[in-house]
Amino acid sequence: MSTTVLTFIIVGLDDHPIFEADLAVKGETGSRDDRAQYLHQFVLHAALDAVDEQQWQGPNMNLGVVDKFNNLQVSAYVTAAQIKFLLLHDGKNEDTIKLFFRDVYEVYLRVIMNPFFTPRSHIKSAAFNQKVRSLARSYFRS
Amino acid sequence: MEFRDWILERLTPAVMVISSPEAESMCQEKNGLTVVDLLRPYGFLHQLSVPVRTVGEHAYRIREFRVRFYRADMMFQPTPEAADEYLKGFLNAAAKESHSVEIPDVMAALQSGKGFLADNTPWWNKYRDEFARMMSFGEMESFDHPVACLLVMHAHAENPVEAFGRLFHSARKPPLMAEGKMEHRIVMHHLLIHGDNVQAEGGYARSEEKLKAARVALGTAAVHLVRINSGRGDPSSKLGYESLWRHPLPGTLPGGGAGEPPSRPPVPTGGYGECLTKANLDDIKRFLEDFAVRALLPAMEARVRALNHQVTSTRKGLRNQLKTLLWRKQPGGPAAAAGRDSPRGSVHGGSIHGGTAAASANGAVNAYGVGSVEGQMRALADLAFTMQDYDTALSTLRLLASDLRADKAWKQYAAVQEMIGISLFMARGTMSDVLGAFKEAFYRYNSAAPHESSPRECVRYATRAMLLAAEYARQHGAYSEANYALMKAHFQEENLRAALLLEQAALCLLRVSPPSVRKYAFHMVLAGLRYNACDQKALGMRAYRQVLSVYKDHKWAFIEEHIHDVLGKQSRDTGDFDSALQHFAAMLHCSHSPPYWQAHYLKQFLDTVAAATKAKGSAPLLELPLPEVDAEHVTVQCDNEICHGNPESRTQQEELWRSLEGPLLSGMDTGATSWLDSGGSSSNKVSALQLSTAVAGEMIEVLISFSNPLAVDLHVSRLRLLFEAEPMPEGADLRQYAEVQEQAVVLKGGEQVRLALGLRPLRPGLLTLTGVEWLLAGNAPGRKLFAPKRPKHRRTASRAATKAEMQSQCLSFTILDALPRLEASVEQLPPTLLAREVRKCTLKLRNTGTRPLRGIRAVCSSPDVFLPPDNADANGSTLDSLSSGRERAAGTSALQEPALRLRRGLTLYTWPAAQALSPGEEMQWPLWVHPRERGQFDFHLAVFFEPEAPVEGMNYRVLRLSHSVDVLASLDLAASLAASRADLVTYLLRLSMHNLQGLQALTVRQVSCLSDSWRISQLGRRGDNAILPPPSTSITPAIEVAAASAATAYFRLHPPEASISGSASGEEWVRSVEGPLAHFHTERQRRLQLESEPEQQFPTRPSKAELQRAALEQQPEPSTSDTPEAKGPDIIVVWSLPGTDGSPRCIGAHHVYDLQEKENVPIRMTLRGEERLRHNFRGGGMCAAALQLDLRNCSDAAASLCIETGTGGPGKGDPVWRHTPELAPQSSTLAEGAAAVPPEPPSGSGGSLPVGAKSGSEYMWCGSVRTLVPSLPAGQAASVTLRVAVMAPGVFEISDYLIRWAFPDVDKLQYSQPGPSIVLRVEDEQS
Repeated sequence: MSTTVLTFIIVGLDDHPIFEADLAVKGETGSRDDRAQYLHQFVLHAALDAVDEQQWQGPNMNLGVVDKFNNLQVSAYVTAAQIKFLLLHDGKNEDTIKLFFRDVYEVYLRVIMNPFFTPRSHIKSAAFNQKVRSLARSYFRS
Repeated sequence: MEFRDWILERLTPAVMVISSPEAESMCQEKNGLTVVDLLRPYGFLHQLSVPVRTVGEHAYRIREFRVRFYRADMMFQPTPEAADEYLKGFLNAAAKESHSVEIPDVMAALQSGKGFLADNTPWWNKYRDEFARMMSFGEMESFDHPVACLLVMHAHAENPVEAFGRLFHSARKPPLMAEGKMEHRIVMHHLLIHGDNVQAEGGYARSEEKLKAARVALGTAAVHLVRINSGRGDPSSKLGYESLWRHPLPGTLPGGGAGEPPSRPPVPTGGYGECLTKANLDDIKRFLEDFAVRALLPAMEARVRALNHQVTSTRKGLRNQLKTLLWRKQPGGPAAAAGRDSPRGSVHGGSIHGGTAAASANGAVNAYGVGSVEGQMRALADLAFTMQDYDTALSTLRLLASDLRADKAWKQYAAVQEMIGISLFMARGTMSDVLGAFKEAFYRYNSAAPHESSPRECVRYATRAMLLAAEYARQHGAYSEANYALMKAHFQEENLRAALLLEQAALCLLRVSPPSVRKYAFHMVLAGLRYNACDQKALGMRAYRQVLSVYKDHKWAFIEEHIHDVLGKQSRDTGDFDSALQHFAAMLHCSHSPPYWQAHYLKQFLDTVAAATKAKGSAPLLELPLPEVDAEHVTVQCDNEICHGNPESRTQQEELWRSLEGPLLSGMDTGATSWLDSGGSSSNKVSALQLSTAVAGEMIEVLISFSNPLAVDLHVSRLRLLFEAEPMPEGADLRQYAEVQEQAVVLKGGEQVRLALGLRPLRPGLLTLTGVEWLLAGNAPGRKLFAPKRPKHRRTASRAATKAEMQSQCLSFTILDALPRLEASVEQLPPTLLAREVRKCTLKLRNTGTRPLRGIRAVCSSPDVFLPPDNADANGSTLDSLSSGRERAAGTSALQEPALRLRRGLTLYTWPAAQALSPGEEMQWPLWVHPRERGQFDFHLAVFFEPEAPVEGMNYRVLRLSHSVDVLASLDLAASLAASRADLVTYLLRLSMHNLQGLQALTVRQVSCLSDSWRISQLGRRGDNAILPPPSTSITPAIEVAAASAATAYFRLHPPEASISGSASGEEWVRSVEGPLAHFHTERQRRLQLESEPEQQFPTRPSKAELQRAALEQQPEPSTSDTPEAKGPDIIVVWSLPGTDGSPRCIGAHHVYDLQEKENVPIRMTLRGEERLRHNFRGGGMCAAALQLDLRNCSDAAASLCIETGTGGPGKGDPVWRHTPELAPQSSTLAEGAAAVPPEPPSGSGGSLPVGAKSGSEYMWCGSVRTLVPSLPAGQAASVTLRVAVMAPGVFEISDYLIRWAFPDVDKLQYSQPGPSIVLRVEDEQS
């Protein structure tokens, strides 16, 4: 059984990834190909160019699918402070992703209210991690 | 090269050359060139003006014209395998050159704004050209098909005309022509070559004759003569045109093909074309111009017309349109099969349509032969194109495309689309049209590929279409389109070509505005992967190296890991250990990876280090990421003027030390320079401003944090500091300058440690700490340089703390010559003390430097610490030093003057200036501590000293010591004072004690009264007064208070009024009048006194405001200060806690100051008299007793008193003897009822009365009821005699009398109090 691809990443300033989560439901055997993470990171990183290009083209924070590589798609959401949410997936419903991004943004806002948070610091909050995962489960479990 | 030129160079008429072997050898032997090679450079004809007419009778002129020459038998497309093999070899050669091409730093180039325009892939253009060449001579396109045939014969042949005929018939034709897929009816041209080197009879004249003869036979314009090899091949006749020949020489394939022979003739010694003279070349040039203008172009024009005519007749016009529409749709039948079998037979027949219809069933490659109308259309289009008539070409191609589309012959359709794209471009169509045509071609090629017999061929054609599109888009600035095209093309391709395409696609992204750097990097990595997959390591590594700067420091862990992994492995395989190690070291940032990979990466790195060590002899020193060194937060600990005696002293606030050191340094030049002090040398000034100071021979310690981010253990050894010394001559041994301590540590996974690395400078000068180095796992040397943090100039007087912080981070030192150094320790200080314990410790001062020191002074922060004025008691236990009986020996040395109390609890001790400590010498001094409160007890010592001989740069040093002790609860003691009822002057002292420490019983050993003339005595039991010792200053009661329990004790205190003279200190357990106890006792008062005094520390001129404030403060002072209050006694309660052997383990002392009476009694009184009387009642009637009432005025004012007797309650109707008041005052009696004694219970109850005592009625007062004492001065005593009469034997309590008093001088109030009672026992004498 081929596992689905679902990688969420938040990219802060200077292209620093400040949060990474593999939200895919693990395959039955649980043996996920670790090496796939390399490709995922490459695709996500390359998609940043597309995000930069498209974020000024409309008033929406949700940019939809910005980039594709083979069957991998990258959806993006840009916050007002130029923090980018990227989701690597294999063709999920755009509306679902939009809702997912919106909810993650709510959670993310709580994280950045921490006065010690800087746009380059890694989000280490376990609560945030858990919340993102539970959001992913509720939206993408099907 | 511009795209248009590129197209014009390639899509030109091809001429097939058939040459006789003799002619070939004539060229090759002398010049190293084949006949084709000889002609090629002159195939480009310019400065022409040839009038031509299009098929639409539109006249135009051809100004430039290129003709391609190919050997006839080599005009075929090589097999894909052979072509790929050739291209691979070609690329290998190009890749070797790639080393010389600099690898650009993409990010730097982009950030500098210069862009990334320099082409750094020189192999690409060559590869693209070669790839296009390998794709030529395809059967679907006719522009590579020959339009003319050139027969070349040597001029020495007999009868050239016949020879030409033989040559043409015997020569091998192009394979496609042999198969009939190529037009074979082409114009023939003849060339005779006269070689001057051949010694033929007649020479050139004879050849000319042959030419004339041939022209007669074959036509004037169809035969030419060229003369070559006129030169002798010597250097003098060299023309220097070698590059002219060399440049257009394409590579060869082993089996030949793509227009080139399998191999080239050997290069002659003088280079290509060495025997050709200028005249020869002019000959060739003239021939080709003639050939092109007079033979080729007219023939082509004629052919275009002929083809157009045919196409028009079969395809154009309404009739043909309808026919096409109707017939094409029908599927093929048997006739179709026949048509396919014999395409040549269907040149003019209508059955062609059936045949082409069959082609819709895919795989009908051969369907469109040269004779078919589609083949003719294609030939027409290509010919028109080469004739530069693009409109005709375009319209024909479009017509053809619609037919092929209807036939679903996708491969041919794609080829036509490709050509449409090119024609559109040449006809200056819009970009979207051009690219659309190419994309359509690509799509159709690919969709046709699975159904073709050779899908790879289709893929290659598809790639070619996309290459054209990309090249076109790139040259017109549409880089994203170019990238799209190249990316599309690479998916189907084999690795090598895919890699090349990806690389170009990536480079296109850099030129997009704004540059898509990240996408570029990704594509480049993909290219690198493909390169590696096809074993092009050099190019793969190049691709990876380029993107390194893009991904660097962006914390994309997996990406960096992958890149370093690939680069590291390749570098290792190529033997470049330095860069391999750098990459492997970078991979050690792998805390995100699972432990297995972490261990693997570490092992990989260490193995490479071992290999590098083996190869080079020593492993290179790297900035290793393991362990992580926090180089930015480095704290230096070194002793300059300030020495730290123990680690705790470093943790204290700098302000604290400054307050301690202030008194030590007052009046000294502390080196604080101002801008006025410009006298000193500039170097001194600089060093004072910028550098820390350290002393040779003393350790400099640097605190650095090391952490292990991995999950595997790290063994770090030889961890040491790196330094640079100045001045240091070349080649000097660093070890002469400082001695470095090495450490080894094992860091567990995730562990963080802060280590102090030490370095001992050995000689004066400048020394800078530059970093740390270590050995990882025993063989990988690593280091980390400190972040260069230059000390800044002090702009203003910054805060002390900031300066100290700066000092602790400054890594450059001025090393001074050796200095004395004092080390101090407080010995015998236990980790915990009891509250109010008195403990003697030993302060040891030792000179560990190499020079003698003197002038020791010390400031102690706490008033609870005491240094006695001499060191007599330096040894011995606390009790020994305290006990009173011991003979005290004079100390070997003494303080210069008594300890000077300073504000804020500080005390300054000064040793005599002459007292010196030579190196290694030690001085011991007793140090008493006496913590008063439970909790934490801190005390800090600052010890000042100076070198005996002045040393430049440092004329004093201060040692800091800091100690902290936990203080536990011991004894809670409350003392209260009450007037004694037994006499008029003494007091009762009540000590209520609570042993708060719950482990051991403690014993109160001594109570001393330290106030002047006050004495203390034990409170004896009733009646055994005689045994008690006389009152003294101290008593030793030995009261044991059990653990966690309470006890109360009473003592009698004798005030000075008791005037007990001569009684000495009495028995003492410990000395309390002098020594440490006395010091600690008086300390508090003196402190209070000191703090209340106005501060006079800074004798500076006061400001006006300060003066006013001082005046205000002084005004109320006299009123309060000149009434000294009566002070109560001060006492010390000394207790001890028994140790294991019975001797006291610790001794404590409570100080009670200024004890005051609990309730002030203004008039104290006692009633005395004989308590036991014997009286003969039978004989003598009633018994009279005289009682003496002593009164003392304890108040400050004179009092008037009145004693009233018989003040009993009115309810008692007992008889009372009344005397008149005229009686003597001594016997005044008042026999009225019972006395009002409030504390006494009503008569009859037991209470504290002796058993059987009768109160009240059984006795009578005698004398006057009221006795007056008109005035009793303050402090004076008076006595009044009262008489009482008893009727019967018994026990009587005499109590019902009252004392009234008033202080007429003070107020008009009257006070009264019942008098003290006395119990009277009267016995009958008879009984």
